[in-house]
Amino acid sequence: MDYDVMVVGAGIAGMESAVSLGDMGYQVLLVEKEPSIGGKMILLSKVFPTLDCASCISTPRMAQAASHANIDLRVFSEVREIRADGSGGFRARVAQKPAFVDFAKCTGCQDCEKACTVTVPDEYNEGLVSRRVAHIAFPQAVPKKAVLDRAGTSPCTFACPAGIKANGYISLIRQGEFAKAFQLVLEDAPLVGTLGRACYAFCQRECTREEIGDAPHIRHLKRFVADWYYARHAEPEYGPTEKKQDKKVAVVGSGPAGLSAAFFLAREGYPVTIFEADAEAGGMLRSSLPDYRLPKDVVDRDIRNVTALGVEIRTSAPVESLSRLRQEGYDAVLVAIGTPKPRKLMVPGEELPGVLSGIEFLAEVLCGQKLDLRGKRVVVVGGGNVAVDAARTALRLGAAKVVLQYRRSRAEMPASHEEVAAAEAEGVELSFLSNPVAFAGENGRLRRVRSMRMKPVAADSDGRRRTIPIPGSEFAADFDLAVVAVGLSAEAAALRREMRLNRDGTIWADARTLQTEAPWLFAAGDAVTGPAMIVQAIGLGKQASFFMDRWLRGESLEGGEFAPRLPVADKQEVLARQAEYPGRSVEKSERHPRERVKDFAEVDLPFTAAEALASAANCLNCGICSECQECRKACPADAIDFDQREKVNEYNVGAVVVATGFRLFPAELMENFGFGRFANVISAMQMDRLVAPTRPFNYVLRPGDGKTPANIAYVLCTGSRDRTVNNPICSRVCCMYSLKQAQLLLGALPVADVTIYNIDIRAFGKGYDEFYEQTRAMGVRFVKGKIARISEKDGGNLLVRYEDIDDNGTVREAEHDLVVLSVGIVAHDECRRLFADGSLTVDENLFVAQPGRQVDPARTSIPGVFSAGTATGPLDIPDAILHAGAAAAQTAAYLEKMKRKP
Amino acid sequence: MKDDGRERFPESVAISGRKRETARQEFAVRARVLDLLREKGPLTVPEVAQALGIPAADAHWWLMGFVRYNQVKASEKADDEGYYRYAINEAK
Ligand SMILES: Cc1cc2nc3c(=O)[nH]c(=O)nc-3n(C[C@H](O)[C@H](O)[C@H](O)COP(=O)(O)OP(=O)(O)OC[C@H]3O[C@@H](n4cnc5c(N)ncnc54)[C@H](O)[C@@H]3O)c2cc1C
Ligand code: SF4
Ligand code: SF4
Repeated sequence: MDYDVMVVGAGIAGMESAVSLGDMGYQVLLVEKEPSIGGKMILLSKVFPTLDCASCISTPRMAQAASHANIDLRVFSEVREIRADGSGGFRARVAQKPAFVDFAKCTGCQDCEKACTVTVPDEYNEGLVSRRVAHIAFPQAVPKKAVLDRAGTSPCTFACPAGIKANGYISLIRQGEFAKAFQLVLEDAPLVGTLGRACYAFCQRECTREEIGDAPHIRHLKRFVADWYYARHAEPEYGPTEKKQDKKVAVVGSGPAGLSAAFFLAREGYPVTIFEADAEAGGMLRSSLPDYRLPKDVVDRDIRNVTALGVEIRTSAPVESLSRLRQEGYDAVLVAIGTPKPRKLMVPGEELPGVLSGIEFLAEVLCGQKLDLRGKRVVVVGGGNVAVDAARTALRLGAAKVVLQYRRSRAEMPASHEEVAAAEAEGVELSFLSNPVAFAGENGRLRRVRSMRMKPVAADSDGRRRTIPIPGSEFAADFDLAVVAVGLSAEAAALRREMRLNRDGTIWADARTLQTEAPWLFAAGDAVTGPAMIVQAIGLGKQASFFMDRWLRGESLEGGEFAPRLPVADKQEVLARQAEYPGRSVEKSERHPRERVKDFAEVDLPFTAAEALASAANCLNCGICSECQECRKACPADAIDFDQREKVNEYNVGAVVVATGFRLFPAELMENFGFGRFANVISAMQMDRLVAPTRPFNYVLRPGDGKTPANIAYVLCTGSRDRTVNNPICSRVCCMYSLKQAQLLLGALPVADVTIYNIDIRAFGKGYDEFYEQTRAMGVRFVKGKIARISEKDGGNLLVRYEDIDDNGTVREAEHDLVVLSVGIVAHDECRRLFADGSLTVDENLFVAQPGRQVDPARTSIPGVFSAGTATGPLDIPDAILHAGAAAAQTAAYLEKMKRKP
Repeated sequence: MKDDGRERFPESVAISGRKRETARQEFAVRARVLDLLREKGPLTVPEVAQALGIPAADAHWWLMGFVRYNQVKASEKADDEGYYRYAINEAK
């Protein structure tokens, strides 16, 4: 047996049972699902009828439960399943939820909370104020440890192949922390400005808010912080790292993959040299991405993020032999040479002057060769991004007519739809379902393009429909320039012989580690995947660097988990968090198509700071925690641990005490009372917070406008003794706590009027009737009346319409500036599900049933399972404690009996 | 009667619902509120709401958040109408 007894729930009743059993010498496992013990009582103001401070009475009990030698406390833990073991005891599965904080290190300083960038309603203050996602439940929490709310990885972040924390930088932007937002992106990818412009933004496609409108412009926000930061920092603020490794690394190719790998390796302290065949660094960014999408000064600045770490880039330095690099003393080599070889159409006339490949054409333009296409007719063949770039570039060079010819349909174009739409707006003509079959020349130059119409047939292996020519459909048109952009293939050229290649000419590398057959040789980027995207190349460069680092340290590559993360947050659950989503639509602006085709200046106009803030404000924080990392950076004890995961333990226990407490009646079910609609209609639990020593505001204020209330109404029996809302029972505590609050209010607001609308006052316990008389004597008005409706006036006051019972049921109306609904207690019937076989029975009001309540309190339908406190029905604190004592005694008797059983 | 507690008595909107939206906007409006208080403060909740064109309930909620994390402080006494005034917490 691991424990004699498991107590589920550490409210006042659970703590009482646990401490009593512990004092008797039993080994107790006390399980609480919240981050702190104390239940509802610790959040109350004072207790009736003595007006003792609730937290002053609770905290010593909490301390005792937490430090008792015979009690093992597990907070933030959930009992998943309990099964009878057949011999009188039980097997329990208990999940330790991840707090993402190492409790052993956390000192409770709250620095993480102060730094956290996401706010949510504070449930410990009944939603009267916000708290942070990184938080300590409340000031007297036991244990006083921080926890982070995480509901998975936000879809935007999850979608990013480079692992850029989109939700994180958005939440920093929302705070106005633009520099920190930039730094956060930089932690995951060096080419911030480039990605902010030219990334095809998987994040945006996956954004939950795309489903309801007003989605934040995720990529454009990244561009905003890059521009903002670069305008203030012409050079990076850092130099080479302090860490120094003695192993050297060579990177072949300075495209996004090579730059990214070099950046991460240099950050680990490796001396890195990049060898680049071209005259300038940047790979495709330099030679293929037109300036109207990606200005080259941005690429230059991005590259300085890499070179600032001490990375050396040797340009015009083609590598002919990898093994020679190795001989020259590089301990590991990364090949990131991209896919620079254009595919051909393989049709007659393709060699004619006037027929160029897409990347030849773009490179010529980008290398400053003045191509004058004024008045010329240009056809671009292909449906990918290179084709669209070529077509838009041709327009900017003055072409009179540009046709984009694609053999499939628009829907099947692999190009970004946004780019295609932009090209169309600029005047590119789109021609689908046709393909050139020959280029015909005149005077040694291209003159005509002969094409066939195509028709779709069944899908091929990649799931896309194939097209075949329609016999007899040939047609011809005159063109001065044809640009063929039908794809790229790998060109490993001289290096080819030194590596194993895939059938399509790409380099073979292990999919996880990116190690090739030679252990010292890794490969990343398009060279491995075939033509892909910048952000994927950056991601792979980072991934390769992670495993290269392990390999260089002599660690096994088997063990390392690259970029662990939580599963993606469920979009439907995210959208269900709020009933409605008011949004402020923020459109990003771009230059008019007629203007922008005249030059190569950027098409998209930058956000202003106000626009960035407004766009970021529409983010839903899908994962709740945005992963902005501010808590981790702020924590002086290094206690934040994003890699924590749920742990499930199994225990054998001799008996179980269910002390899972109650829930509050949801007051909005009383539709005529306006709770949740009228700001100044609050619940009594909210009022208990407002008058508690640890209250959310310094003073008693009404939530509608922060005014000190002067005329307060209580509506007793809200949701109790009411069959219309399925709660026929009396909640027992509402009359008394309302009297208590009325007395406290008169203490805090001596000139206030307090009216208590009631059917009758139930004051049956010791000293309770005296408490009632005392309240009456203090001037609190008691009106015997049933409330029909509450309505709101301009300015936030409330009109309470009631039937005056003492005046023959006359209907009257009274105005108040704050209405408190004395909500009842309802069952927390989830405890039923703890028992795998459903054998824990509940009564008709869903409280744990006590079949022999009169003579056998605390006993449940299962031998060996007892119930303590309000899990069994409404009780006040003294009765809950008495009941918990009974549960402890019953449990002890059961354990003793089982011991004596043969 | 439904025999599932969550169905019979669903989670209250007091904590979820509209307040979640208000909470999400807290940091987005923070700079505007703090700038306003820096320039024109101390101000009451209705004055802040009017100056920024936001609902008074939201203005109150956000101000309470800023008070909680020590960016803003409340006056010692309420005015005759029962409103406290809020100012930048210079001690912070
Ligand atoms: C507004 C208001 C004011 C009140 N004022 C007074 C007063 O002045 N005086 C008075 O005597 N009474 C008062 N009461 C009543 C008092 O709050 C209860 O009597 C008391 O909190 C009952 O304690 P409990 O331990 O039974 O339940 P709870 O306080 O509800 O504690 C139950 C605990 O179990 C945990 N739990 C639930 N399910 C699980 C699970 N599956 N696994 C692990 N843990 C779980 C919960 O998180 C919680 O910590 C008031 C009630 C209200 C609503
Ligand atoms: S990562 Fe950011 S949002 Fe998440 S808990 Fe830490 S500070 Fe808050
Ligand atoms: S709403 Fe925000 S967190 Fe959610 S996917 Fe969109 S950008 Fe990411």
